[in-house]
Amino acid sequence: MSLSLGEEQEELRLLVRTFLDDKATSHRPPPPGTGPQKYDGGLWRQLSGQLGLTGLAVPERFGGAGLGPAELGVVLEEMGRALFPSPFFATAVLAGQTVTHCGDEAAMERWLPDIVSGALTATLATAEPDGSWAADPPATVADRGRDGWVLSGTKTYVVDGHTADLLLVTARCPDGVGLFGVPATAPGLTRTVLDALDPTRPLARIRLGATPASRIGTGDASESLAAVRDLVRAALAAEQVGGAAACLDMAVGHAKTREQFGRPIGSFQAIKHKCAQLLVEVECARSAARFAGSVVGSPGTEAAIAAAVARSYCSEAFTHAAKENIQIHGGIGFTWEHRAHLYLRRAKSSELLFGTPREERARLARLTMSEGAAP
Amino acid sequence: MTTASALPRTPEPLDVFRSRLRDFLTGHGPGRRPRDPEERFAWTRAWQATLFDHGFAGPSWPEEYGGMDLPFAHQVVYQEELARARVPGPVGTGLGIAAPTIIKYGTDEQRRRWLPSMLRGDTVWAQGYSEPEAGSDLPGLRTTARRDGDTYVVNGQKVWTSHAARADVFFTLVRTGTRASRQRGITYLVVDAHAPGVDVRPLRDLTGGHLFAEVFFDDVRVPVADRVGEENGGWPLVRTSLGHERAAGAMNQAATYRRVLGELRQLLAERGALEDTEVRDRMADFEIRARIMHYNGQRTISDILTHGEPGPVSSVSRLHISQFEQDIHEFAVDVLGPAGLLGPGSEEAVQRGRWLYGFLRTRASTIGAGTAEIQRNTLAEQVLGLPRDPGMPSV
Amino acid sequence: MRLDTSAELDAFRAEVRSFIRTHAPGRKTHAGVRAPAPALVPELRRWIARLHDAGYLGRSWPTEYGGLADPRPEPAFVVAEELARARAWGQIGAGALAAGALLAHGTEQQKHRFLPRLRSGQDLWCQLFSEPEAGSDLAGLRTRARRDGDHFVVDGQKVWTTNAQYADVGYLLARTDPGAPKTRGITAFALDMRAPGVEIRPLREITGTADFNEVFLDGVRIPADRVIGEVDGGWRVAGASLAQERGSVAARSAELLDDLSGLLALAARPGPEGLPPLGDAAVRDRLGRLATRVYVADLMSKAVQSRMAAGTDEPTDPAMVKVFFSDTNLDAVSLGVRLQGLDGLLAEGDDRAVDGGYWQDALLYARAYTIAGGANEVLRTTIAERALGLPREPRS
Repeated sequence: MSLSLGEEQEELRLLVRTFLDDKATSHRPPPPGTGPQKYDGGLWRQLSGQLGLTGLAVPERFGGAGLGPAELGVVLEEMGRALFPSPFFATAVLAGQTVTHCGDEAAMERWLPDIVSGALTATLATAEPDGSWAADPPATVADRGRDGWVLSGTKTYVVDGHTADLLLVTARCPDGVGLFGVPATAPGLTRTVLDALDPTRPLARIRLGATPASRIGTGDASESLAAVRDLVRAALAAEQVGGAAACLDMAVGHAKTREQFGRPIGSFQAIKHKCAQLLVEVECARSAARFAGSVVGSPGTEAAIAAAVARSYCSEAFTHAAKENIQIHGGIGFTWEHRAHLYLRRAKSSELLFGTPREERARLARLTMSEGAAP
Repeated sequence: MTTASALPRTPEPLDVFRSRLRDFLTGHGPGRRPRDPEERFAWTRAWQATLFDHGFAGPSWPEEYGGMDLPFAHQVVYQEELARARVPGPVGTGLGIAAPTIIKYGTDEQRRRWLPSMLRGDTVWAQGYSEPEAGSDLPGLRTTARRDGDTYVVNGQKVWTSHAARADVFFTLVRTGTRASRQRGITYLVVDAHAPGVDVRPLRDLTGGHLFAEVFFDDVRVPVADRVGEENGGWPLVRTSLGHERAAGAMNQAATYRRVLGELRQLLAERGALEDTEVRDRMADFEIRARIMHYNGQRTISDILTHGEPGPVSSVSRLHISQFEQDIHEFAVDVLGPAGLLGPGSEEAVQRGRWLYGFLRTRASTIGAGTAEIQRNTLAEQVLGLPRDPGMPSV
Repeated sequence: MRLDTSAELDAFRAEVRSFIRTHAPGRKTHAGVRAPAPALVPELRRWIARLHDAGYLGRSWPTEYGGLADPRPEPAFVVAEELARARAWGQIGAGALAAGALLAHGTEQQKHRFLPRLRSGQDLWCQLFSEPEAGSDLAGLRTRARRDGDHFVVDGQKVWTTNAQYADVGYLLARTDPGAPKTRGITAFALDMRAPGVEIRPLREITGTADFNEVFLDGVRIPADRVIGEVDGGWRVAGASLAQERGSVAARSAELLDDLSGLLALAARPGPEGLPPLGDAAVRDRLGRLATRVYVADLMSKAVQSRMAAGTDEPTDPAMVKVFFSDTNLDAVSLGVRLQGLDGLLAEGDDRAVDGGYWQDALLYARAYTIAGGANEVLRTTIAERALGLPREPRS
């Protein structure tokens, strides 16, 4: 196992970096109260169909590149660095990985080629208003009607839920937790944009009132969803590393040029030591995310452990970096126009999504502290 | 640090190597660790000789000096298995720090003269960089060496020299240029610890032990043949040796701390403390940091294999480790309550006071080999490129 | 150490508390020093007059300017604390600061002109100190004031000015002698905010609200009789007037105590599966740890107050209170977001946001406390050098 980027991964990283540098540099914070940042449909088509990013971790028989979580991590680190507004995370990671690992060939054939081409945006809806990320069992129920399954209930904190063409929804079935595909245009489905702390990652609430849906796979989907969750967590950790690294770069850049007391503030040890500490945390976070990216998707508890390690550490490292970045910027970092606060908002919201650091540590404790757990 | 063997050879498969090493460690283990410091020292040296005599010493060293010349992945397995077997580490700091420098910069004659006996533990080497006045400012060191024909005459004082009290040889830095020359006037010398004019005074540290000592040099004559590298050219050697110290140490430390963490978990489980969600949260946090230590080590190795150099993560892993070891010992003392405060002299002491000892000992882990503050300055200036603090010396 | 436990002060506190409960307009909905809504400002002017009339603000002023000539700082601390506790508005802008400057260094004419209007709420003041290039290094300010006959002509830019949009008068620091050492060439002025050449632009902060302003000064003419204190003596004037702001020392810990109760309520709120976070030992531990720090912050503030009352306070006292408060505050509001679980993802615009999104806003705002009024890094350096006597860090 290598935790360094190989030649091809390095090329991929450069490709994404160059693309984002060229195309996505000018986005300023949207005016407050105007809802989430909108994504550029043209850029979306380029990065999916042209660059093939949405198909990176999709099997080749559906038009993808057949690569894995490590490559997804490379892309997400760059997107996290740029805070690039796009439905990539929802479509390629949440929905794309769920379908790829659902074991239902028909579903894969139906949706994956369109995810690869960028024709279809999609997301995964599991959280419910009771406040848990993966409600188990879900309060949303699935009933088998005369014409097939219908879903009723409310899902919330759905990433890109207000724009996705396809929603993958978990619901309670007679035989356990079922996974369903619901087109956004299905009858009885309403969606509301939430006023989210992080305007760069839109969230929505989805109400389903006897909404027709197609079942993905058979039987209880809990296990395959759990595996997907590890993939999602590793991917999100990589995105957090990118965000943290961007904060460190911004802080260092500012500290080199901003002068107070007749010196660049970066020559003061108080600032230096903050930056050095962030460097330690960013590099450790990168090690954790790379390791998670190299083991998730393989069977065994190691994947779950690595995902928990990465999420707990990367969450805290990113939030810390985002806070310190504002502090090092001083007054200018406190203005809306400066992008520093967008990173803090993204950091805080990424920390809460899909399991907080505390929940990750509780999970890790269960996995490693039981009798007989491997040291 | 390896030199190419005459013939290319196919490395032994990793799992075969691992089980061969494990068999050796099971069959020749050094036995119980003696409590008496003198006995323990002899025991440690004997173990090193056992390793050497069976061809299990010096994983990265060229074979001609008694080493194993292992590929990097095998070195990792080697470090993991040794940590797992809880055998003692090498005596002194020669193997980790001096040897790579000598292998890289020494002459053939020097390598033949010094390396095998160092590897077998027949001579104990100790590092002597720090000084009372210079503290963490290595380029400002004041111990001088004046050239006098075929010898240097050394005068000055070193402190906090790990294992100095038992050393046969000091590898040290001396000033051969002017004071103002800073790092451009530093030379790397190997000094016989038993030579006339060398005076070693053990220093009682925070833990009551003698890991450190003061070493005084009073007109000590050192043959020019014992200089490594060029006169006034010692500084690049220091950089190399510190880099290797980190790379060699990272995996070993990771393995060691995974084990320490396991032991603490076992202890807390026995005492029923793991039921407390706060304790579980903290323990999970240590688990995370220990695993990251391991990942950092692996990443350093990957970087060496992929890019030929250790990369950015190697520069941060030391700080990560020192913060970890301070935190875990302090946490252990906190969670053990009053019993955790007792030293080995008390019957009620938990595990002979090891956690308390660790708590005190790890204060030094952010002071020795460059304080945490200096390490942060170095990271900030050399890795992040922040401007130099006009009040601080350059590193 | 004497804290405010005398019967007289206790009675005073009860009186102030009841007065605020009965008369205070509105209640602050956000943490921090925030701009009131425009519609509220006329009411706040009347409220400021009322607080002065009751002897709650400007109590130490000489009687000829309407004060009670009460030399003790304790009553001012009690008022600041009670206002903060009730989340009520007090003086807005830089009124107290300006009054301090005028009383210590103003001419009779200036005192008679400005102080009555300040008491009556007729004049709101704003503080024109910080500049884009002079943040924590205030003495590095660059706004220039050139003498031109019986006027000064001012050019430059100020930033982080609260309530500039409502202010009638600006308390301005500008450089009158660029050749002099940094602190020696600065002069203090009372600037008519409606003078030609004054342009105010709202500054939107990371919270999404516009609580501060940028103030551009372009050829603004100030009559020479509006110089407060000596020409080139503004640094001393600013120093003296800052002493008037020490009520904030008391206000901060009262806010923290209030937040602590808010956190407790949050922790008791049922989370996923109906379980409140408070059932978790780790959450209790964190809350307990935080409570300890909040109480220490409160005690520290009280100790400093009592030193101020006795005249034995140290120059670094406010810095220590501020650093400790702002760090504790950051931890407190971070916990406030964390305790909400997934609901922490919502902002105040969402009708489902817990406590109206107070904690999310407070988390973003918390950086104002660790940056404004001297960044914590700078204050820690000052504490190390002045309170501990460590050698000075080289700087110009």
